Parts: sequence; structure tokens; C-alpha cells
Amino acid sequence: MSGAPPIISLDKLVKRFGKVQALDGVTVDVPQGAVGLLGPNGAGKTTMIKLLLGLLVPTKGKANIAGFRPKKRSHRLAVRRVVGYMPEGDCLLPDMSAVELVSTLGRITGLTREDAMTRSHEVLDYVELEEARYRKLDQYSTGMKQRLKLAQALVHDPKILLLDEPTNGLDPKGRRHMLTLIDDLGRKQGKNVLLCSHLLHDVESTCDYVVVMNKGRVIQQGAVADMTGGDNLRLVVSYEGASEDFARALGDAGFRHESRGERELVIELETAVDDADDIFAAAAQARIAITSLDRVRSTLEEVFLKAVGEHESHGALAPTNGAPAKGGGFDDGSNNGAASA
Amino acid sequence: MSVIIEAKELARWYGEVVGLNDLTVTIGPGITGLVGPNGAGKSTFMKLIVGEIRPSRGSIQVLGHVPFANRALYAQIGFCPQQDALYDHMTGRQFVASFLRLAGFGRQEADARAVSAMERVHLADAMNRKVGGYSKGMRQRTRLAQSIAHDFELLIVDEPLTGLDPVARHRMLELFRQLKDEGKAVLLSSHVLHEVESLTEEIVLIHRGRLLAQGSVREVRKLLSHHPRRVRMRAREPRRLAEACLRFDHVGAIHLDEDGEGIAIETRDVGTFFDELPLLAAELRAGLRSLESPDANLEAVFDYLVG
Amino acid sequence: MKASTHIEVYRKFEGELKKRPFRAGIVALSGIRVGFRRKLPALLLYAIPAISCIVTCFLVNLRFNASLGIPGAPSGSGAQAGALLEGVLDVKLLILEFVERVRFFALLAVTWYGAGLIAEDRRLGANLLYFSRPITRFQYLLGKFLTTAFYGSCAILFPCIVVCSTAAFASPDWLFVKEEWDVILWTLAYASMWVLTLTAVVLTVSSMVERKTLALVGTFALVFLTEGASNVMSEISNEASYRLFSLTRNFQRIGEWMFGRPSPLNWNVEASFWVIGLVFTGCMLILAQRVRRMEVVA
Repeated sequence: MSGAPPIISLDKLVKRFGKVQALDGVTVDVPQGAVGLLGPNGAGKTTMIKLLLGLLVPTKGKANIAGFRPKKRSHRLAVRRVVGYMPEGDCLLPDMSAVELVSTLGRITGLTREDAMTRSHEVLDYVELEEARYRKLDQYSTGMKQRLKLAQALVHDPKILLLDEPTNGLDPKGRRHMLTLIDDLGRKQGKNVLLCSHLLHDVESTCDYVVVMNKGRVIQQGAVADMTGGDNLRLVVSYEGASEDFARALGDAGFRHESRGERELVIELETAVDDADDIFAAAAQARIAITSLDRVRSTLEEVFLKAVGEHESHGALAPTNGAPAKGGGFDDGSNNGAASA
Repeated sequence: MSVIIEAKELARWYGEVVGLNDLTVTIGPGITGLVGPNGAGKSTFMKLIVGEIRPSRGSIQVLGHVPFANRALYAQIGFCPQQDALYDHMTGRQFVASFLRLAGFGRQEADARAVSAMERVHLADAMNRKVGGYSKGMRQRTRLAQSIAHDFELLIVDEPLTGLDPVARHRMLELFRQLKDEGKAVLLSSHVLHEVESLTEEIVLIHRGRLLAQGSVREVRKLLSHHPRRVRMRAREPRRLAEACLRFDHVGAIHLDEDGEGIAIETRDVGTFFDELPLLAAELRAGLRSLESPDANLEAVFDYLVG
Repeated sequence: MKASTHIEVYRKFEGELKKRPFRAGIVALSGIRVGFRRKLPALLLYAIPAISCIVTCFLVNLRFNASLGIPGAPSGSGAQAGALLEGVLDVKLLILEFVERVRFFALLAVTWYGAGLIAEDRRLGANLLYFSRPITRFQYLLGKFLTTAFYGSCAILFPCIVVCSTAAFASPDWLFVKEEWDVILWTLAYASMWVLTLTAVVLTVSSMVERKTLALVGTFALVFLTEGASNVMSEISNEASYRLFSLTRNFQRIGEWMFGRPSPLNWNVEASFWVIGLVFTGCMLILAQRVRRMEVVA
């Protein structure tokens, strides 16, 4: 990833609407591949997307999107030929059929009538809309609508895909399907996917890089693997069996550790070691069954909440121990008790 | 364990369309996740619980009472349905207070409770503004505030997190945990399974109006014995580890990743595998550095059951 | 993640994108196709114009044939020429009557089909689908304009063309074209003006509301309220010029001027042209601004 030039590069970009400063000096190089764009509501993500689509002109600063500069009027239109956009809302006209919608939009982008037909069926196959593609859209389920929205964004085979909340409102199966498609597009088809989602879990599973925005600025960016990479001096272990025996065996083997909830503990290592064979040995000695073992990692959610200044989370799946609650309100006193109860 | 909701052969049809069919389930205190695909009958079940609709067949008891048209019971239940029904011309505070007034609270009490409910959903700043100007997430939270403002014992929430941003999601999850700590029972439906799982182990899974599974995710997974459990490991010498694992007769398949580190096995008896692995690893010294079960979670259970 | 077969299904697009496709035309074509999908409204809206078009054609034919005596045979005698001219005049009246009759249906058609075009795009957010593609606001608007104008033309302009053609072909020796070419010209000009003005008004209303029904109601309210108000005003003050506020009256005035008939509306015809011009320009300005907001603020 490091070698390739960035696909989108913004330099001190400012966008003002009257008195409102929607973007307040955004400097970011978005690498090629699948990138997550995160931020709470009102962080400036929508403004950013509109800028990338050439729908808005930046007030100040430089922007370069796949070689186009949206300050020039001709570039503003041209940039849309290389960008595919999947909007968030329910934006489909109910009286059309899927084929009709996708091919019309493809032709507007510049496909010939024949190409538009070929491509429409191609992308509808890709998102697995079968015979339904000939039916009117008012009979579509949410999942089908979302996939159709993805298909229309793909019809002209754009280099950049902007996906706005693509898994919104989907049930688990539909969501998994959508994520498989996004993952495929970003990692196998070589598309530059920019994914906006409130479901950080989805971003984590499909994106290699994330950009976190808050209050019109980029407050954090980096590879997902680095952010959630984990601590090579701390291991988290889940086990089954008598905790006292395990604790004793670990102590005998010279491991410092602390318990974290039921049947889970964190082991602190003096020096980074390449394997956990000694821990398994201690477990074997104490007749303990280890059910999972890994470095202590943060989830993207924890990284995100920390970055936007929300108090330390005790996590979606992995409770972190001992971090005092910074904020008021919710966490008074009950921060750590809840997860293990 | 006390019983909060008890349904026996519960069914509800809309004409010929099935909403819920032959559901027998017992829900205890704490947080319970109600999961299932779109149109599975989750909302129908919730409406039956709060007594909005009458069962076509079978019976349901909530907190020991029959819920249909039971006003006394209604005061003990908080219900937050999915529909975005709010009065745009009121402020958030007025909206919540107006419902409390309807429920019989005095003016001052209603206002005080409305304020504290709005604070709990982190809308204290916006509670004196008109609902019409709220964002989607704020409207959602206002409805939640309305459903938790009175003295309830059971909270029913239908997809409370849809459309919320990560910060708001985090806060709402915290709120549910907190309610549970206060001794309330919570039944919540969601499509985001890992969030459900972060709240609770106890789930009710329905599909096409039928009950597919109930109980803790861990137990349910154990019952799905025809799906061998997958275990993923990373090791310095995965081939030696694989060879050793092959000797277990409950291990059915072994797959080595291309990166030369990862190894995935399938076992019919994951308990024995975990029991035996420490000794194996200690003797083998193959540099085992991580261990996880990718299909032990709710996502996998859902996948196996619903397909 | 589970491996699925759709991975191989995606093929890259190797061809080239056209630099300047006629985007407005593509938008218009798709709008027209969608509109005609529902058969009942089309039937209700166009049955009467179609029937009256056929009847008028038939009558036109009949006039010429009757005045000619033996159909198809050209003749030079004076009496026959006189009859012929009479026939031509008759035909002119027939055409005028026809235009007057179908005018209302053009209003209905334009309103019915045009009302939802922009309003529904706004309500559903479909403008984002369009404007995330290399289409300018002008092209988008032109596309919507062409769609609506086409529906209006189906009710008035195309039937007028048919009637005029019939007259031209049926008249012996192209007499109708030679003698009354201005009738053809004025008829078509009048029909086009009517359709274009209505289109502008309907689309403007459509761009200001978020529902098709609202736009429908809004347009009819606009047309009939101005009509009613101007009627009342002119009745009270006994001053015909108040009727300048009414769109339909202005068109009546222009029509009567075009076809050289006496008019009860006693104002200068230029005033009517000014009013219509103003309405049209106003609508265009509002539309430009509304569509700009659909692209930029959305």
C-alpha cells in the first residue's frame, strides 16, 4: 500500500456554508484500496463526499481526486466519470425496473446503449439480483434495494466507489452478503472503496485503512491492522477449569497476570516472545482447557471512541479492565461491573 | 429464575399471512436479544407482549398477567417500537412529558421524569428544542426516552440502534447495561448480532414466525452438533501442529493457510480438543501463538440456523 | 469470510465512455417510458384528444371532398374554386375549434405527468443518483422539461400536426398550404407555446414541493385560482384587463389575435405576450435555483 500514490489527496481543505465551517482544514492522503471513513454525525463526512463527487467547491485548499481538481468546473463533472456513488437513503424511483434504472444511469455517465445493457446485466449478476431485475422497484426488499444501489454505482466500472451506509437496515444475512461484495470489490477487484458506516465492525472487516473525522477535521488515520494491532507484551486468554489452579500454575511459570471477568485473564510478558507454548504448558499442568488466546487488541470501535473523545469503552466483545471512566452521565460507578455480571 | 415472559403455543396470523406461529418460549430477567431475519415475526411478538394485539392462538403471560388490553400491566412495560412516530411541533421534553401525563403522572412529576429520561439518552442539550428539528438518531433516542421515563419493569425495544452513529450506539448499549443493573428486564431486537452479543448471552432466534433457538449462544452452539466446530490457530510451525492434530480422531479436517502461519481445523468435539491442546502444544513446542473459534458466536449460530 | 461464486462474475468494462452523450435525451426517454407504464391514466388523458383528432380529420376530409364534388380530380372552374375557398375557411374554423377543445387536456396531461418528476426525485433523494454522474443541472432540467413537454404535446401538438397534415393532403392542389399556411404555422406555434408554458409552470410547482399529489393540487390551484380571481376582479370592476392575471385568458387573447378573430378581451395582445414571457422567465429562474439546490445542498 505504501508504494502506490494516494487515490485522493486533500490539502488544508476548507468548506464553509455561510458561518458554518463544515470542513476545517482537512489534510489527508487516502491510499488505494478499501478505506473506511468514520465519524460521528456532523463530523463533515457528508460534506467530504459531496466534495469528492464534485457537488461542492471547496472554499479553500487543494484537492486531488484520481488526478482531478474539483476547483475547475470541467474537472468537477469529469471526476464523476471515475467515481461511483451509492447514496444512503431510499433513492430509487418506484416505477422503474432495476435494469432500466441501472442502464439509464449508465447511459447518463456515457455508456452507449449497447454497453449500458451489457454492463447493467453484468453488475446485476454481480450483486445477485436475479429475475427480480425486471420487476418494478416498489416490490423490492431493503436488501435488494441496497444491492441495486451498489449495482448502479458500479455500472460504469469506476475507479473509486463511495459507499454511504451500505449495510443500513439490512438483516444479518443481507448484511453479510453486502460485506462480502464490498470486501471483494476492495480486495480482489482493485476498486478504491471509500466506505462510510456507523457499524465499525463492518468497516473493520472490509477495510484496510481508516480515516476518522470529527468536527470538520481528520483526527486520526492509519492502517486498521496498526490501530487494532495489539500489544505484543499482553495476551488475553479465555479458559475453562479452576481459576485458582491456573493462576497458581501461571505464577509458578513466572507470568504476571490479572483476571478480567469470568474465565478470562490477561497475561503480561516481560519481553516479547514469539509464542505462547509456555502458557499452554502451564495450562496443561493445571489441567486447564484454553479456549482462546491472542494479543490484547483494541477493536476499531474502541480506537474510534477514544479518538472522538468518548470515554474508554469496555468494548463490544472484549472488555478492557481498569480504565477509569472519564466522562460523566452513563458510567457513574457502573462501568466495569456490567460486562462481567 | 423468575419468569418475565412466558408464551405457550403462541400464534398470530394477519388474515392468512403468518406473523408468529406456535411459539413456546420463556424469557427471564436481564437482557434478552430477539434476533431473526426481516419479517421473522419479531415485531409481532413484541406487539403481543405489550398487548397491542391479541394472540390468534395460544397464550402469553407477561410479568404474570395476560397483556392484551391490560392497562395496569402497560404501566409496568416500556415499549419502543420501530416506527418513527413523534409530534414535530413539541419539544423533546414536552413530548416525553405528555406521555407521562397520559399515564397519570402529575404535571411537575411528569416534567421532572421527562428531563431525567432525556438526560439518560444524552439529549439534555436538545430537549428544549422542537422535535421537528431533530436528526434521525435524536428522534430515535427521544422515543427511547419516552419508553423509559416511567417506572417499568420490562423494556421492549425494537431495533433501537438503527441509524445511530457509533458514539450514540455506544451510549445506548451502556444505557441498556445500566438498566439491567437496576434490575429491569430488557428484550431487544437487533440485526447487528455482535452488538447483541456484547450485551447478552441470552437470545431468542425466530425465523418465519417459528422459534429456531433459545438460550445462551454458547449452549445453542453446542446443540448444533452436525456443524463441526472450527478452530483457528497461528503457529511458527503449522505443519507439525497439523500433523499432531490429525492424530485426534475428533478432528475431521485441517487446512493450512497460504501465509505459512495459519492453521484451521474442524472438530466434532471441541471440548476434548481444548482439553487436550495444552499438553499437545507444550510437548510439541511448535510455536503456537494464537487460538480462536470463529464459529462459536451468535453470527455463526444465526448463519447455521437461518442459512 | 465465506467463499462465494460471485467473485468471478465481475468483469471490468473495457470500452470507452462517450464524451458528450445527449444526457437530457436519456433522462427524458426514461421519464417517458416510466410514465406510459401505467395504462389507465394515459387512456383517460389521451382518449378524448385522440378521438376528437380523428373526428376533426374526418370532417376536414369530408369538407374538401364535398366541396370538390369528385374526390381527387383537380378543377379550375370559378364556382368550384369559390366552394373550395369556403371549404378552406370551414377547415380553418374546424382546426380552431379543435385546438380550443384539446387545450384543457394538454393542461391535464402536463400536470399529471409533470407534477411528480422533480417532486418525487426530491422526496426520494433520486437527485443524488443523477448528480453523482456527469450531468449538468441544465441537462437534467432539460431532460425533465422534454419529458413533460412530450406528454403535453401528445395531447395537443401532435394532434394538431396530424389535423393540419390531413388538411394539407386532403386539400386539392395543396390549396390549404398555399392559401392558409399561416393557420398551420399559428396553430403549431400556439400549441407549442401552450405546452411549454404549462411545462414550465408545472415543473416549477413540482420543484417546490415534495410530493406528486401536492404538485398536482398546487398546479391546479394556481391555474384555477388565478382564473377565478381575475374573473371576479374583472366582473366587479367591469374592467376586462384584470383577466391579464389568468394564464388561460392570455392564451385565449393570443389565440384570437393569431387567428384574426374579434376578442372580448380588449387589451393589447403584446401585454399577453409580456405576461406569458414573464411567467415563463420567472419559472425558469425559480427552477434554476431549485435544481441548483438539488445538486449542491441535496
